[in-house]
Amino acid sequence: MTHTHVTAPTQFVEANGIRFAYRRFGRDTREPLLFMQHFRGGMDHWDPAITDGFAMDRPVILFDNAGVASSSGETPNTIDAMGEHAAGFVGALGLSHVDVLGFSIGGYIAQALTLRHPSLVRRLMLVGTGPRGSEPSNDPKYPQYATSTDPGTGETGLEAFLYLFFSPSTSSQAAGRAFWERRHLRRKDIDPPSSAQTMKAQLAAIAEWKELRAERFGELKRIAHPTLVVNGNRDIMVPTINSFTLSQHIPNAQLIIYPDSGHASHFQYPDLFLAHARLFLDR
Amino acid sequence: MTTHTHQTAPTQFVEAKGIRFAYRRFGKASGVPLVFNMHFTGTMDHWDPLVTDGFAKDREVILFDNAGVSSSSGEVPTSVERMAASALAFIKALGLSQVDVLGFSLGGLVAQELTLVAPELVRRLVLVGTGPRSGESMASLTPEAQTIFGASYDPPDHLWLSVFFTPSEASQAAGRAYLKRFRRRTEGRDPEVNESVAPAQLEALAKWGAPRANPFDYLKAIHQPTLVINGDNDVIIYTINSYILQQNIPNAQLILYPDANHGSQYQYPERFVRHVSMFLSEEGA
Repeated sequence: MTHTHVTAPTQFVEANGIRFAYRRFGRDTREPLLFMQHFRGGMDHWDPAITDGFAMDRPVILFDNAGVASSSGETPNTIDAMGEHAAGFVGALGLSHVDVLGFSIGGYIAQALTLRHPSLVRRLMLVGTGPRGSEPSNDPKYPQYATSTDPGTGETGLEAFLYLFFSPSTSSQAAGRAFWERRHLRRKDIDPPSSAQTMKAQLAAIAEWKELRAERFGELKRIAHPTLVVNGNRDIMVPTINSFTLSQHIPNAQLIIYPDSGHASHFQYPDLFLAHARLFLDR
Repeated sequence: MTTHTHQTAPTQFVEAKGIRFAYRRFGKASGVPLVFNMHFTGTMDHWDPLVTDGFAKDREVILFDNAGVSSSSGEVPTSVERMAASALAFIKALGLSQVDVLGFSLGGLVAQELTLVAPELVRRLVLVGTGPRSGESMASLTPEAQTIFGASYDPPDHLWLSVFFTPSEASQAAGRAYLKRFRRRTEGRDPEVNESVAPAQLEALAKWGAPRANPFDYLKAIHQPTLVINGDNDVIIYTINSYILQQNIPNAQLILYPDANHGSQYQYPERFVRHVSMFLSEEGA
Protein backbone atom coordinates (compact mmCIF):
# COMPACT_ATOMS: atom_id res chain seq x y z
CA MET A 1 0.00 0.00 0.00
CA THR A 2 1.25 3.47 -0.86
CA HIS A 3 1.02 5.81 2.08
CA THR A 4 0.48 9.54 1.93
CA HIS A 5 0.82 12.43 4.33
CA VAL A 6 -2.62 11.65 5.72
CA THR A 7 -2.28 7.87 6.02
CA ALA A 8 1.39 7.24 6.86
CA PRO A 9 1.52 5.61 10.29
CA THR A 10 3.58 7.16 13.04
CA GLN A 11 6.52 4.87 13.73
CA PHE A 12 9.22 4.94 16.38
CA VAL A 13 12.95 4.40 16.44
CA GLU A 14 15.35 4.65 19.35
CA ALA A 15 18.58 6.68 19.38
CA ASN A 16 20.51 8.70 21.99
CA GLY A 17 18.05 7.39 24.58
CA ILE A 18 15.19 9.09 22.74
CA ARG A 19 12.23 7.31 21.20
CA PHE A 20 11.83 9.33 18.01
CA ALA A 21 8.42 9.52 16.35
CA TYR A 22 8.57 9.61 12.57
CA ARG A 23 6.60 8.95 9.41
CA ARG A 24 8.10 7.69 6.20
CA PHE A 25 6.26 7.53 2.91
CA GLY A 26 6.75 8.03 -0.82
CA ARG A 27 8.45 6.22 -3.66
CA ASP A 28 11.55 4.29 -2.81
CA THR A 29 13.71 5.96 -5.42
CA ARG A 30 16.24 8.76 -5.05
CA GLU A 31 17.62 10.21 -1.83
CA PRO A 32 15.27 10.38 1.16
CA LEU A 33 14.22 13.92 2.06
CA LEU A 34 14.21 14.70 5.77
CA PHE A 35 11.99 17.53 7.00
CA MET A 36 12.98 19.64 10.04
CA GLN A 37 10.11 21.56 11.54
CA HIS A 38 9.60 25.13 12.81
CA PHE A 39 9.23 26.43 16.40
CA ARG A 40 6.70 24.37 18.39
CA GLY A 41 5.73 22.42 15.29
CA GLY A 42 5.44 18.67 14.83
CA MET A 43 4.86 16.27 11.95
CA ASP A 44 1.31 17.52 11.39
CA HIS A 45 2.42 21.08 10.70
CA TRP A 46 3.79 20.33 7.24
CA ASP A 47 1.83 20.97 4.08
CA PRO A 48 0.48 17.75 2.49
CA ALA A 49 0.67 19.50 -0.90
CA ILE A 50 4.43 19.66 -0.40
CA THR A 51 5.15 16.37 1.36
CA ASP A 52 2.95 14.34 -1.01
CA GLY A 53 4.42 16.25 -3.94
CA PHE A 54 7.94 15.19 -3.01
CA ALA A 55 6.70 11.69 -2.15
CA MET A 56 5.73 11.13 -5.79
CA ASP A 57 9.36 10.45 -6.62
CA ARG A 58 11.32 10.06 -3.38
CA PRO A 59 10.98 8.91 0.22
CA VAL A 60 9.81 11.64 2.57
CA ILE A 61 10.68 11.46 6.25
CA LEU A 62 8.93 13.63 8.83
CA PHE A 63 10.00 13.39 12.47
CA ASP A 64 9.64 15.01 15.85
CA ASN A 65 12.99 15.93 17.32
CA ALA A 66 13.83 15.06 20.94
CA GLY A 67 11.07 16.05 23.34
CA VAL A 68 8.84 17.46 20.59
CA ALA A 69 5.21 16.27 20.30
CA SER A 70 5.21 12.44 20.01
CA SER A 71 8.93 11.94 20.66
CA SER A 72 10.18 11.12 24.13
CA GLY A 73 12.86 12.92 26.15
CA GLU A 74 13.50 16.58 26.74
CA THR A 75 14.00 19.21 24.08
CA PRO A 76 17.59 20.44 24.50
CA ASN A 77 18.28 24.16 24.75
CA THR A 78 20.90 24.51 22.02
CA ILE A 79 20.65 24.16 18.25
CA ASP A 80 23.81 22.04 18.22
CA ALA A 81 22.26 19.50 20.60
CA MET A 82 19.14 19.40 18.40
CA GLY A 83 21.43 18.78 15.42
CA GLU A 84 23.08 15.88 17.27
CA HIS A 85 19.67 14.37 17.95
CA ALA A 86 18.75 14.70 14.29
CA ALA A 87 22.01 12.94 13.36
CA GLY A 88 21.23 10.17 15.87
CA PHE A 89 17.76 9.77 14.39
CA VAL A 90 19.06 9.53 10.79
CA GLY A 91 21.66 6.99 11.91
CA ALA A 92 19.03 4.93 13.71
CA LEU A 93 17.06 4.68 10.46
CA GLY A 94 20.17 3.13 8.92
CA LEU A 95 20.56 5.92 6.39
CA SER A 96 24.06 6.97 5.38
CA HIS A 97 22.90 10.32 3.96
CA VAL A 98 19.77 12.31 3.26
CA ASP A 99 18.59 15.51 1.63
CA VAL A 100 17.43 17.95 4.27
CA LEU A 101 14.70 20.60 4.25
CA GLY A 102 14.85 22.81 7.34
CA PHE A 103 12.19 25.43 8.01
CA SER A 104 12.80 28.28 10.47
CA ILE A 105 14.39 26.79 13.64
CA GLY A 106 14.48 23.58 11.60
CA GLY A 107 16.73 25.50 9.21
CA TYR A 108 19.06 26.40 12.08
CA ILE A 109 19.18 22.73 13.06
CA ALA A 110 19.76 21.74 9.44
CA GLN A 111 22.79 24.06 9.33
CA ALA A 112 24.13 22.64 12.59
CA LEU A 113 23.60 19.08 11.33
CA THR A 114 25.36 19.89 8.06
CA LEU A 115 28.31 21.57 9.79
CA ARG A 116 28.75 18.83 12.40
CA HIS A 117 27.99 15.85 10.14
CA PRO A 118 28.77 16.98 6.60
CA SER A 119 28.77 13.48 5.13
CA LEU A 120 25.26 12.80 6.41
CA VAL A 121 23.75 15.50 4.18
CA ARG A 122 23.65 15.41 0.38
CA ARG A 123 21.68 18.54 -0.49
CA LEU A 124 20.32 21.21 1.80
CA MET A 125 17.20 23.36 1.58
CA LEU A 126 16.91 26.26 4.03
CA VAL A 127 13.45 27.79 4.13
CA GLY A 128 12.42 30.90 6.11
CA THR A 129 15.57 30.78 8.15
CA GLY A 130 18.86 32.52 8.83
CA PRO A 131 22.48 32.13 9.90
CA ARG A 132 23.88 32.21 13.42
CA GLY A 133 23.88 35.89 14.37
CA SER A 134 20.82 36.61 12.20
CA GLU A 135 19.24 40.02 11.96
CA PRO A 136 16.49 39.85 14.60
CA SER A 137 12.80 40.38 14.05
CA ASN A 138 11.64 43.85 14.98
CA ASP A 139 7.95 43.08 14.61
CA PRO A 140 6.13 44.34 17.72
CA LYS A 141 3.54 41.55 17.79
CA TYR A 142 5.90 38.70 17.03
CA PRO A 143 6.96 37.70 20.58
CA GLN A 144 3.43 37.61 21.93
CA TYR A 145 1.90 35.83 18.92
CA ALA A 146 4.72 33.29 18.64
CA THR A 147 4.23 32.07 22.18
CA SER A 148 0.43 32.33 22.23
CA THR A 149 -1.67 29.19 22.61
CA ASP A 150 -5.22 28.52 21.52
CA PRO A 151 -6.76 26.88 24.60
CA GLY A 152 -8.99 24.75 22.36
CA THR A 153 -6.09 22.99 20.61
CA GLY A 154 -3.06 23.65 22.79
CA GLU A 155 -1.31 25.03 19.70
CA THR A 156 -0.82 28.34 17.93
CA GLY A 157 -4.23 29.60 16.82
CA LEU A 158 -5.24 30.52 13.28
CA GLU A 159 -5.15 34.29 13.76
CA ALA A 160 -1.62 34.27 15.18
CA PHE A 161 -0.51 31.77 12.58
CA LEU A 162 -1.80 33.82 9.64
CA TYR A 163 -0.17 36.94 11.07
CA LEU A 164 3.19 35.26 11.64
CA PHE A 165 3.53 33.09 8.53
CA PHE A 166 1.80 35.03 5.72
CA SER A 167 1.76 38.59 4.39
CA PRO A 168 -1.19 40.85 5.24
CA SER A 169 -2.46 40.90 1.63
CA THR A 170 -5.81 39.32 0.80
CA SER A 171 -4.23 36.73 -1.48
CA SER A 172 -1.56 35.72 1.04
CA GLN A 173 -4.09 35.44 3.86
CA ALA A 174 -6.35 33.33 1.62
CA ALA A 175 -3.38 31.08 0.81
CA GLY A 176 -2.75 30.80 4.55
CA ARG A 177 -6.29 29.65 5.24
CA ALA A 178 -6.07 27.15 2.36
CA PHE A 179 -2.89 25.77 3.91
CA TRP A 180 -4.60 25.58 7.31
CA GLU A 181 -7.31 23.39 5.76
CA ARG A 182 -4.76 21.12 4.10
CA ARG A 183 -2.75 20.74 7.24
CA HIS A 184 -5.81 19.56 9.17
CA LEU A 185 -6.76 16.90 6.62
CA ARG A 186 -5.07 14.26 8.75
CA ARG A 187 -7.40 13.42 11.62
CA LYS A 188 -6.17 10.06 12.88
CA ASP A 189 -2.88 9.17 14.54
CA ILE A 190 -1.96 12.82 14.93
CA ASP A 191 0.72 14.38 17.11
CA PRO A 192 -0.16 15.87 20.48
CA PRO A 193 0.74 19.58 20.80
CA SER A 194 4.34 20.15 21.75
CA SER A 195 4.91 20.88 25.43
CA ALA A 196 5.73 24.02 27.38
CA GLN A 197 9.15 22.47 28.00
CA THR A 198 9.74 22.28 24.23
CA MET A 199 8.74 25.91 23.73
CA LYS A 200 10.99 27.10 26.55
CA ALA A 201 13.97 25.08 25.39
CA GLN A 202 13.50 26.13 21.76
CA LEU A 203 13.33 29.79 22.81
CA ALA A 204 16.61 29.34 24.70
CA ALA A 205 18.15 27.65 21.65
CA ILE A 206 16.96 30.46 19.35
CA ALA A 207 18.47 33.01 21.76
CA GLU A 208 21.76 31.11 21.82
CA TRP A 209 21.73 30.99 17.98
CA LYS A 210 21.83 34.79 17.97
CA GLU A 211 25.23 34.74 19.77
CA LEU A 212 28.33 34.89 17.61
CA ARG A 213 31.07 32.34 18.26
CA ALA A 214 33.67 33.66 15.84
CA GLU A 215 33.59 35.83 12.74
CA ARG A 216 29.96 36.54 11.86
CA PHE A 217 28.77 34.14 9.11
CA GLY A 218 32.28 32.62 8.91
CA GLU A 219 31.08 29.05 9.51
CA LEU A 220 28.79 29.21 6.47
CA LYS A 221 31.83 28.97 4.20
CA ARG A 222 32.26 25.40 5.46
CA ILE A 223 28.91 24.33 4.04
CA ALA A 224 30.14 22.94 0.73
CA HIS A 225 26.81 21.29 -0.05
CA PRO A 226 24.58 22.42 -2.89
CA THR A 227 22.08 24.56 -1.00
CA LEU A 228 18.76 26.13 -1.91
CA VAL A 229 17.67 29.08 0.23
CA VAL A 230 13.99 30.03 0.02
CA ASN A 231 11.89 32.70 1.68
CA GLY A 232 9.02 35.12 1.24
CA ASN A 233 9.82 38.76 0.58
CA ARG A 234 8.33 39.94 3.91
CA ASP A 235 9.31 37.45 6.60
CA ILE A 236 8.56 39.21 9.90
CA MET A 237 9.97 36.41 12.09
CA VAL A 238 13.32 35.67 10.48
CA PRO A 239 13.67 38.79 8.32
CA THR A 240 14.18 38.08 4.62
CA ILE A 241 17.60 39.74 4.53
CA ASN A 242 18.87 36.70 6.47
CA SER A 243 18.07 34.50 3.48
CA PHE A 244 20.08 36.85 1.28
CA THR A 245 22.93 36.61 3.80
CA LEU A 246 22.81 32.80 3.77
CA SER A 247 23.05 32.78 -0.01
CA GLN A 248 25.93 35.27 0.06
CA HIS A 249 28.04 33.20 2.44
CA ILE A 250 27.27 29.55 1.62
CA PRO A 251 29.57 28.95 -1.34
CA ASN A 252 27.18 26.89 -3.46
CA ALA A 253 23.80 28.38 -2.59
CA GLN A 254 20.96 29.41 -4.85
CA LEU A 255 18.42 31.88 -3.47
CA ILE A 256 14.75 32.11 -4.34
CA ILE A 257 12.51 34.80 -2.86
CA TYR A 258 8.79 34.74 -3.57
CA PRO A 259 6.55 37.80 -3.89
CA ASP A 260 3.90 39.01 -1.44
CA SER A 261 4.64 36.33 1.14
CA GLY A 262 6.02 35.83 4.61
CA HIS A 263 7.79 33.13 6.63
CA ALA A 264 5.81 30.30 5.00
CA SER A 265 6.18 31.25 1.34
CA HIS A 266 6.45 27.55 0.50
CA PHE A 267 3.00 26.96 1.99
CA GLN A 268 1.69 29.89 -0.05
CA TYR A 269 3.12 28.65 -3.37
CA PRO A 270 3.39 24.89 -2.81
CA ASP A 271 3.38 23.94 -6.51
CA LEU A 272 5.94 26.54 -7.49
CA PHE A 273 8.11 25.67 -4.49
CA LEU A 274 7.91 21.97 -5.37
CA ALA A 275 8.89 22.64 -8.97
CA HIS A 276 11.86 24.76 -7.88
CA ALA A 277 12.94 22.35 -5.15
CA ARG A 278 12.76 19.29 -7.39
CA LEU A 279 14.77 21.05 -10.08
CA PHE A 280 17.34 21.77 -7.39
CA LEU A 281 17.39 18.30 -5.82
CA ASP A 282 17.49 16.37 -9.09
CA ARG A 283 19.92 18.49 -11.06
CA MET B 1 8.74 26.41 -43.65
CA THR B 2 12.26 26.60 -42.31
CA THR B 3 12.58 26.81 -38.58
CA HIS B 4 15.17 29.40 -37.84
CA THR B 5 17.52 29.37 -34.88
CA HIS B 6 19.82 31.87 -33.24
CA GLN B 7 22.43 30.92 -35.80
CA THR B 8 20.30 31.06 -38.96
CA ALA B 9 17.66 33.72 -38.26
CA PRO B 10 18.16 36.47 -40.85
CA THR B 11 18.65 40.04 -39.73
CA GLN B 12 15.58 42.01 -40.74
CA PHE B 13 14.82 45.70 -40.59
CA VAL B 14 11.86 47.80 -39.58
CA GLU B 15 11.55 51.56 -39.61
CA ALA B 16 10.21 53.64 -36.71
CA LYS B 17 10.81 57.20 -35.52
CA GLY B 18 13.34 57.69 -38.30
CA ILE B 19 15.43 54.73 -37.10
CA ARG B 20 15.99 51.60 -39.16
CA PHE B 21 15.96 48.94 -36.46
CA ALA B 22 17.83 45.67 -37.05
CA TYR B 23 16.15 42.64 -35.50
CA ARG B 24 15.88 38.88 -35.66
CA ARG B 25 12.73 36.96 -34.92
CA PHE B 26 12.56 33.19 -34.55
CA GLY B 27 11.01 30.41 -32.51
CA LYS B 28 7.62 28.81 -32.14
CA ALA B 29 4.96 31.33 -33.16
CA SER B 30 2.51 30.96 -30.32
CA GLY B 31 1.54 33.16 -27.43
CA VAL B 32 3.37 36.28 -26.38
CA PRO B 33 6.80 36.96 -27.93
CA LEU B 34 9.81 37.57 -25.70
CA VAL B 35 11.80 40.71 -26.54
CA PHE B 36 15.46 40.80 -25.45
CA ASN B 37 17.13 44.06 -24.38
CA MET B 38 20.90 43.97 -24.59
CA HIS B 39 23.68 45.13 -22.25
CA PHE B 40 26.30 47.89 -22.56
CA THR B 41 28.05 47.79 -25.98
CA GLY B 42 26.37 44.51 -26.89
CA THR B 43 24.78 43.50 -30.19
CA MET B 44 22.28 40.78 -31.15
CA ASP B 45 25.21 38.39 -31.36
CA HIS B 46 26.07 38.83 -27.70
CA TRP B 47 23.12 36.73 -26.59
CA ASP B 48 23.77 33.10 -25.75
CA PRO B 49 22.31 30.71 -28.36
CA LEU B 50 21.59 28.19 -25.60
CA VAL B 51 19.38 30.79 -23.95
CA THR B 52 17.66 32.20 -27.06
CA ASP B 53 17.17 28.80 -28.73
CA GLY B 54 16.08 27.40 -25.38
CA PHE B 55 13.22 29.90 -25.24
CA ALA B 56 12.52 29.60 -28.98
CA LYS B 57 11.39 25.99 -28.48
CA ASP B 58 8.08 27.19 -27.10
CA ARG B 59 7.84 30.89 -27.80
CA GLU B 60 8.86 33.58 -30.27
CA VAL B 61 12.13 35.29 -29.52
CA ILE B 62 12.89 38.80 -30.76
CA LEU B 63 16.43 40.18 -30.63
CA PHE B 64 17.11 43.73 -31.74
CA ASP B 65 19.72 46.46 -31.78
CA ASN B 66 18.41 49.60 -30.16
CA ALA B 67 18.90 52.99 -31.87
CA GLY B 68 22.49 53.61 -32.94
CA VAL B 69 23.71 50.17 -31.90
CA SER B 70 25.50 47.93 -34.43
CA SER B 71 23.22 47.22 -37.43
CA SER B 72 20.57 49.76 -36.43
CA SER B 73 20.74 53.30 -37.77
CA GLY B 74 20.58 56.53 -35.78
CA GLU B 75 22.38 57.65 -32.65
CA VAL B 76 22.47 56.10 -29.21
CA PRO B 77 20.38 58.33 -26.92
CA THR B 78 22.09 59.55 -23.76
CA SER B 79 19.24 58.60 -21.43
CA VAL B 80 17.56 55.34 -20.49
CA GLU B 81 14.19 57.06 -20.96
CA ARG B 82 14.93 57.77 -24.62
CA MET B 83 16.34 54.28 -25.14
CA ALA B 84 13.04 52.93 -23.83
CA ALA B 85 11.15 55.25 -26.18
CA SER B 86 13.13 53.76 -29.07
CA ALA B 87 12.46 50.23 -27.86
CA LEU B 88 8.76 51.04 -27.63
CA ALA B 89 8.74 52.46 -31.16
CA PHE B 90 10.48 49.34 -32.42
CA ILE B 91 7.99 46.96 -30.77
CA LYS B 92 5.02 48.96 -32.05
CA ALA B 93 6.51 49.01 -35.56
CA LEU B 94 6.39 45.21 -35.47
CA GLY B 95 2.65 45.54 -34.88
CA LEU B 96 2.77 43.77 -31.53
CA SER B 97 0.19 44.62 -28.89
CA GLN B 98 1.68 42.59 -26.05
CA VAL B 99 5.16 41.25 -25.32
CA ASP B 100 7.18 39.71 -22.51
CA VAL B 101 10.34 41.70 -21.91
CA LEU B 102 13.75 40.45 -20.83
CA GLY B 103 16.40 43.04 -20.05
CA PHE B 104 20.00 42.34 -19.14
CA SER B 105 22.14 44.97 -17.36
CA LEU B 106 21.63 48.27 -19.25
CA GLY B 107 18.86 46.41 -21.08
CA GLY B 108 17.25 45.81 -17.68
CA LEU B 109 17.08 49.55 -17.07
CA VAL B 110 15.49 50.01 -20.50
CA ALA B 111 13.05 47.19 -19.71
CA GLN B 112 11.96 48.87 -16.45
CA GLU B 113 11.44 52.19 -18.18
CA LEU B 114 9.59 50.56 -21.07
CA THR B 115 7.27 48.86 -18.59
CA LEU B 116 6.55 52.17 -16.87
CA VAL B 117 5.75 54.08 -20.06
CA ALA B 118 3.84 51.28 -21.81
CA PRO B 119 2.34 49.11 -19.06
CA GLU B 120 -0.36 47.74 -21.38
CA LEU B 121 2.29 46.46 -23.79
CA VAL B 122 4.34 44.49 -21.27
CA ARG B 123 2.82 41.27 -19.95
CA ARG B 124 5.73 39.91 -17.87
CA LEU B 125 9.13 41.30 -17.07
CA VAL B 126 12.46 39.51 -16.58
CA LEU B 127 15.29 41.62 -15.13
CA VAL B 128 18.73 40.03 -15.30
CA GLY B 129 21.96 41.39 -13.80
CA THR B 130 20.49 44.83 -13.32
CA GLY B 131 19.40 47.36 -10.73
CA PRO B 132 17.11 50.22 -9.74
CA ARG B 133 17.54 53.96 -10.29
CA SER B 134 20.15 55.25 -7.84
CA GLY B 135 21.11 51.68 -7.05
CA GLU B 136 24.08 50.76 -4.87
CA SER B 137 27.30 51.96 -6.62
CA MET B 138 25.43 52.68 -9.85
CA ALA B 139 26.24 56.40 -10.18
CA SER B 140 29.40 55.37 -12.02
CA LEU B 141 31.14 52.14 -12.95
CA THR B 142 32.02 50.05 -9.89
CA PRO B 143 35.74 49.90 -9.06
CA GLU B 144 35.75 46.30 -10.32
CA ALA B 145 34.07 47.33 -13.58
CA GLN B 146 36.58 50.15 -14.08
CA THR B 147 39.44 47.68 -13.76
CA ILE B 148 37.80 45.08 -15.97
CA PHE B 149 36.72 47.45 -18.75
CA GLY B 150 40.02 49.36 -18.50
CA ALA B 151 42.18 46.31 -19.26
CA SER B 152 42.94 44.94 -22.74
CA TYR B 153 42.23 41.39 -23.84
CA ASP B 154 43.56 39.08 -26.50
CA PRO B 155 41.34 38.02 -28.15
CA PRO B 156 39.17 41.06 -27.35
CA ASP B 157 36.08 39.02 -26.49
CA HIS B 158 37.91 37.57 -23.46
CA LEU B 159 36.72 40.79 -21.81
CA TRP B 160 33.46 38.96 -21.21
CA LEU B 161 35.16 36.24 -19.16
CA SER B 162 35.84 38.93 -16.55
CA VAL B 163 32.59 40.87 -16.93
CA PHE B 164 30.22 37.92 -16.82
CA PHE B 165 31.99 35.19 -14.82
CA THR B 166 33.68 34.82 -11.45
CA PRO B 167 37.36 33.92 -11.14
CA SER B 168 36.51 30.37 -10.01
CA GLU B 169 37.60 27.52 -12.24
CA ALA B 170 34.03 26.35 -12.79
CA SER B 171 32.77 29.81 -13.70
CA GLN B 172 35.68 30.49 -16.08
CA ALA B 173 35.12 27.13 -17.78
CA ALA B 174 31.45 28.06 -18.22
CA GLY B 175 32.65 31.39 -19.63
CA ARG B 176 34.85 29.74 -22.23
CA ALA B 177 31.94 27.52 -23.26
CA TYR B 178 29.75 30.62 -23.57
CA LEU B 179 32.32 32.35 -25.79
CA LYS B 180 32.38 29.33 -28.08
CA ARG B 181 28.62 29.47 -28.44
CA PHE B 182 28.71 33.24 -28.85
CA ARG B 183 31.18 32.99 -31.77
CA ARG B 184 29.29 30.21 -33.51
CA ARG B 185 27.22 32.44 -35.79
CA THR B 186 29.61 33.53 -38.51
CA GLU B 187 27.27 34.54 -41.34
CA GLY B 188 25.11 37.64 -41.13
CA ARG B 189 26.76 38.61 -37.90
CA ASP B 190 26.26 42.05 -36.38
CA PRO B 191 29.25 44.40 -36.60
CA GLU B 192 30.74 45.32 -33.21
CA VAL B 193 29.49 48.70 -32.01
CA ASN B 194 31.29 51.86 -33.11
CA GLU B 195 33.19 54.15 -30.74
CA SER B 196 30.28 56.55 -30.22
CA VAL B 197 28.13 53.88 -28.49
CA ALA B 198 29.99 53.41 -25.19
CA PRO B 199 30.18 57.13 -24.23
CA ALA B 200 26.45 57.66 -24.89
CA GLN B 201 25.49 54.51 -22.98
CA LEU B 202 27.78 55.46 -20.08
CA GLU B 203 26.12 58.86 -19.91
CA ALA B 204 22.69 57.19 -19.78
CA LEU B 205 23.89 54.79 -17.07
CA ALA B 206 25.30 57.64 -14.98
CA LYS B 207 22.04 59.63 -15.16
CA TRP B 208 20.06 56.54 -14.16
CA GLY B 209 22.38 55.76 -11.26
CA ALA B 210 22.66 59.32 -9.91
CA PRO B 211 21.42 59.78 -6.35
CA ARG B 212 17.92 61.21 -5.84
CA ALA B 213 15.28 61.32 -3.11
CA ASN B 214 13.15 58.21 -2.54
CA PRO B 215 14.82 56.52 -5.49
CA PHE B 216 12.93 53.22 -5.34
CA ASP B 217 9.38 54.61 -5.19
CA TYR B 218 8.98 54.33 -8.96
CA LEU B 219 9.23 50.54 -8.70
CA LYS B 220 5.87 50.42 -6.91
CA ALA B 221 4.27 51.34 -10.25
CA ILE B 222 5.53 48.13 -11.90
CA HIS B 223 2.54 45.84 -11.47
CA GLN B 224 3.63 43.21 -13.96
CA PRO B 225 4.69 39.84 -12.58
CA THR B 226 8.48 40.25 -12.52
CA LEU B 227 11.35 37.80 -12.22
CA VAL B 228 14.68 39.22 -11.04
CA ILE B 229 17.76 37.08 -11.67
CA ASN B 230 21.44 37.55 -10.95
CA GLY B 231 24.62 35.88 -9.85
CA ASP B 232 25.40 35.93 -6.12
CA ASN B 233 28.57 37.93 -6.77
CA ASP B 234 27.85 40.48 -9.50
CA VAL B 235 30.71 42.98 -9.49
CA ILE B 236 29.37 45.04 -12.42
CA ILE B 237 25.94 45.87 -10.95
CA TYR B 238 26.19 44.69 -7.38
CA THR B 239 23.92 41.79 -6.43
CA ILE B 240 22.25 43.77 -3.64
CA ASN B 241 20.58 45.80 -6.40
CA SER B 242 18.67 42.70 -7.52
CA TYR B 243 17.50 42.28 -3.93
CA ILE B 244 16.40 45.94 -3.88
CA LEU B 245 14.43 45.41 -7.10
CA GLN B 246 12.68 42.39 -5.60
CA GLN B 247 11.88 44.18 -2.36
CA ASN B 248 10.32 47.17 -4.11
CA ILE B 249 8.52 45.75 -7.15
CA PRO B 250 5.13 44.63 -5.80
CA ASN B 251 4.99 41.26 -7.58
CA ALA B 252 8.58 40.16 -8.02
CA GLN B 253 10.36 36.87 -7.53
CA LEU B 254 14.15 36.79 -7.06
CA ILE B 255 16.56 34.04 -8.05
CA LEU B 256 20.30 34.30 -7.34
CA TYR B 257 22.67 31.68 -8.71
CA PRO B 258 25.77 30.45 -6.86
CA ASP B 259 29.37 31.31 -7.72
CA ALA B 260 28.18 33.62 -10.48
CA ASN B 261 28.89 37.16 -11.59
CA HIS B 262 27.05 39.55 -13.93
CA GLY B 263 26.32 36.89 -16.59
CA SER B 264 24.80 34.16 -14.42
CA GLN B 265 22.34 33.28 -17.22
CA TYR B 266 25.26 32.31 -19.45
CA GLN B 267 26.85 30.25 -16.70
CA TYR B 268 23.66 28.27 -16.06
CA PRO B 269 21.82 28.62 -19.39
CA GLU B 270 19.61 25.52 -19.04
CA ARG B 271 18.62 26.29 -15.47
CA PHE B 272 17.97 29.91 -16.42
CA VAL B 273 15.76 28.98 -19.37
CA ARG B 274 13.87 26.54 -17.17
CA HIS B 275 13.29 29.05 -14.39
CA VAL B 276 12.26 31.83 -16.74
CA SER B 277 10.02 29.54 -18.81
CA MET B 278 8.29 28.39 -15.62
CA PHE B 279 7.76 32.02 -14.71
CA LEU B 280 6.54 33.08 -18.16
CA SER B 281 4.09 30.19 -18.44
CA GLU B 282 3.14 30.37 -14.75
CA GLU B 283 3.86 26.67 -14.41
CA GLY B 284 3.27 25.79 -10.80
CA ALA B 285 2.04 29.25 -9.87
